[in-house]
Amino acid sequence: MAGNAPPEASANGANPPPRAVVSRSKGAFRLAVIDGEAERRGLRPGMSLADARGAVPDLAIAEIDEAADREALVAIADWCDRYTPLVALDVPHGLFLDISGCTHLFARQGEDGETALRSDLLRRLRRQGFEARAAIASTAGAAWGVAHGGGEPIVLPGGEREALAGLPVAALRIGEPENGLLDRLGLKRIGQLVGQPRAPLAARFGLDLVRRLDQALGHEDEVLSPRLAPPALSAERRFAEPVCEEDSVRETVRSLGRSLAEALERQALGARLLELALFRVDGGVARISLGTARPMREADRMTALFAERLSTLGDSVDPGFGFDTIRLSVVETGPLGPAQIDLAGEGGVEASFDHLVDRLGARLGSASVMRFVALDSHLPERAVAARPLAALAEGEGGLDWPLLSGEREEPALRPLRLFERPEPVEVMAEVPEGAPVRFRWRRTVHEVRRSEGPERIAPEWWLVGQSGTAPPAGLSDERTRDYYRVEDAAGRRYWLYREGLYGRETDRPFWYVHGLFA
Amino acid sequence: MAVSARAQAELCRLRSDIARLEGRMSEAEKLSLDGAPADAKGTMAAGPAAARLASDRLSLGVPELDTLLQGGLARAALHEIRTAETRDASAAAGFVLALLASAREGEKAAPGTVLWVSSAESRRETGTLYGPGLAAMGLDPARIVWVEAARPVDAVWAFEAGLACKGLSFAVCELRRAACLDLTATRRAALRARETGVTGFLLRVASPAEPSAAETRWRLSARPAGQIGALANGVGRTAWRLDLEKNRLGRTGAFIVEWNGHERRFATRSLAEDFSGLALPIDRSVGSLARSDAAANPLPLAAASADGSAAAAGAERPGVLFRARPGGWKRAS
Repeated sequence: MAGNAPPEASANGANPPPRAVVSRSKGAFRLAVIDGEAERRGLRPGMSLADARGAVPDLAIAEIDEAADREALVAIADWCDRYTPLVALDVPHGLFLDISGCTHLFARQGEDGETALRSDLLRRLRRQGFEARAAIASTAGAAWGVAHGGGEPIVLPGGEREALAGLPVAALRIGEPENGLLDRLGLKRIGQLVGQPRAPLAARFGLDLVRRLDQALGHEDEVLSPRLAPPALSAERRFAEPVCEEDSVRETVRSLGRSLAEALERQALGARLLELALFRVDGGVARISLGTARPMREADRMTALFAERLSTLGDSVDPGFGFDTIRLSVVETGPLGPAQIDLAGEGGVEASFDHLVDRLGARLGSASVMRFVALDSHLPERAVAARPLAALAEGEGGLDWPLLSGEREEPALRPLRLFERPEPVEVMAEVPEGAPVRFRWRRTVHEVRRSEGPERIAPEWWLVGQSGTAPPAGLSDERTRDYYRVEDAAGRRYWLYREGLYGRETDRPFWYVHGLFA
Repeated sequence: MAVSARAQAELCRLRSDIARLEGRMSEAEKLSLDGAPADAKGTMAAGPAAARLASDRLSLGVPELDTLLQGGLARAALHEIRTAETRDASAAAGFVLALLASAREGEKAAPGTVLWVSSAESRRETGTLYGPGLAAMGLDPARIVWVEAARPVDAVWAFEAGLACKGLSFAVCELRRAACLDLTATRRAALRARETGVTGFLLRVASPAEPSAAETRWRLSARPAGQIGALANGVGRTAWRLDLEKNRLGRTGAFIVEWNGHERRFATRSLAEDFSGLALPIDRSVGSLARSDAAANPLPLAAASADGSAAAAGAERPGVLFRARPGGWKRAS
């Protein structure tokens, strides 16, 4: 099925001025899209603007804005998600909807599913102010041809050849050069091509034409690439009267969640990524996705998490005139055994921790809930990473932490807090390669009372230049650092370092504070 | 009169209801505690109520402090630690982490998970928590779940959510002065903590003493590190000065506490030792400079020496100090 949706809506009213969208091509402005009134007055797309102005002096024009067109098309594609999860873009003005297996949902009394779906789609689009044509066929090519070339909009299986025969060759999705060539040779209708021997056709007009012909007739498969990955499971509800209250949305999520939970339990699966799609009456679609720490399938929990999320999104999910369809989809699943009745009341603690992680992730973003992972590096800033808890697989904790286990008591050799970007300090030392005596950090002078060091940390020369991005100031890949643990007069402890070996790597080493001790 | 007796009984019941709601001890329990002899060493009063309290407390392992707190910091409650300056933020975080590392989990076999909530602002000001540094203090970084909230409101929300979660042992919230952290918010947090048994620590950086529902409030600042072994020059054991400003149990005081990460326990340092900690070794090149500085800024601490009862307590507990106040001397403990 293919639709054609010029972004310029035809205006209503008594005698609106004819309108056209122009684009610049080959150094001249040409009409790209025109409305019905302009067409009636004899204009055609592709005319030069000068000619068009000559024929229709009151023509209102606007320059084409391809980015906005594409945005509008994507928004319509999003909205079309209500008919099928498989929607592919056909830029600039078309959409492909794979409606296999979806049509029966739209069947009404006295009308089969396909007819009902098509008329529903066109009616709703028109109401939003879009002119559209739609056709349904067994192949994407045939549907495109019929939608663009005209004819009976619903092509029954096997009827492609017949439906396409009378259409102009341009309905085969071929480029302008081939089209012009075919036209000059008198091959104006698709029907004239179908019977032709294939080898000369391919030799003369390129393989593209033959492929398009085969695709339209179903001799060759055509793969559409849908915009969004289809969800593993989804449940939706349509409303005769749009809903806008948060409570109704929440209750709908709960009941959708229940039906999903049943389906998940049958397959021994749990949801890891959920998506809630709210279809507004005026065509806008709000999508809210939500990850969970562990596979889960309790409807109440899904409801609570989405309620949390909705409360933080606030005005960005504007119900407008209300939502007419609400869909809850499970995008990713994970294995989860069938539920067991917990007699001992244990496991509640673990479950409540997972709930917490999910709640925090729902409100603050799952990337803000982190755990420290030890990495294999001796550079301080690379020895640890904070990884989102949601992304950490079960039992994945990186290396073991070098916990204190030695015989002798040692002071903390690493600071409690580390700056992502070391902060430059002005240091006074007695000799250039000596320990600091005094330093100025954040406009305050600190007198060093005691210090220990240096601890020399050499760069990872085997990794130089592999990170791709330039390291921040002070964290050079190439210079050795000498770290000192210093304590100032007030008893605060700092981790300072001098970047660059004096005399060998640099003549003027810079000092930084990299961390703070407790 | 019968009516007045009934009213009295009703009043009594309402009082105990309020006490239960606010998490205070009921009158009966209080009576039993008061009746028990509070001996000079300050050990826990005998009796079932006291036994219950002891298991609910997070002992610091320092007799002076534990006495003051009747066995340690109350679990399932909110505690507040504030610093007067941003520069002490790291020291305050260190103290809380040391507390967590020292916590012996009574009935639970594994040490529990800790939720650490901080704001984006604190990362800019004092950096992020650093895993190897936590390990160096004796705390397993894998225990920590770190949450960073963009706004203080979200941080307070996350803290409350953490306190409401039975799967955690501790929740820590690190904030600078924030309007959203008022008495109501702390009261909510304290209630959550009591319901679930999670212990909450509120780290308020660069913040004045504000009313809150916390069980205790400490003011903290960094002190020169303690000595390890014979290395007098070295930067050794982390040390803090703790001022217990508020204590639901009544007594307050000032302490200097060191952290022994190797044995995961606190130790107090006497006032004399604290002075010696400041005195510089002779072989230091910066000695002259430092000594003049120390002379210019005498410490705001005074040695314990007061009337008879205080002297007795002070003699036994060299770490308990007395604070000089503009209004004159006041017994701090």
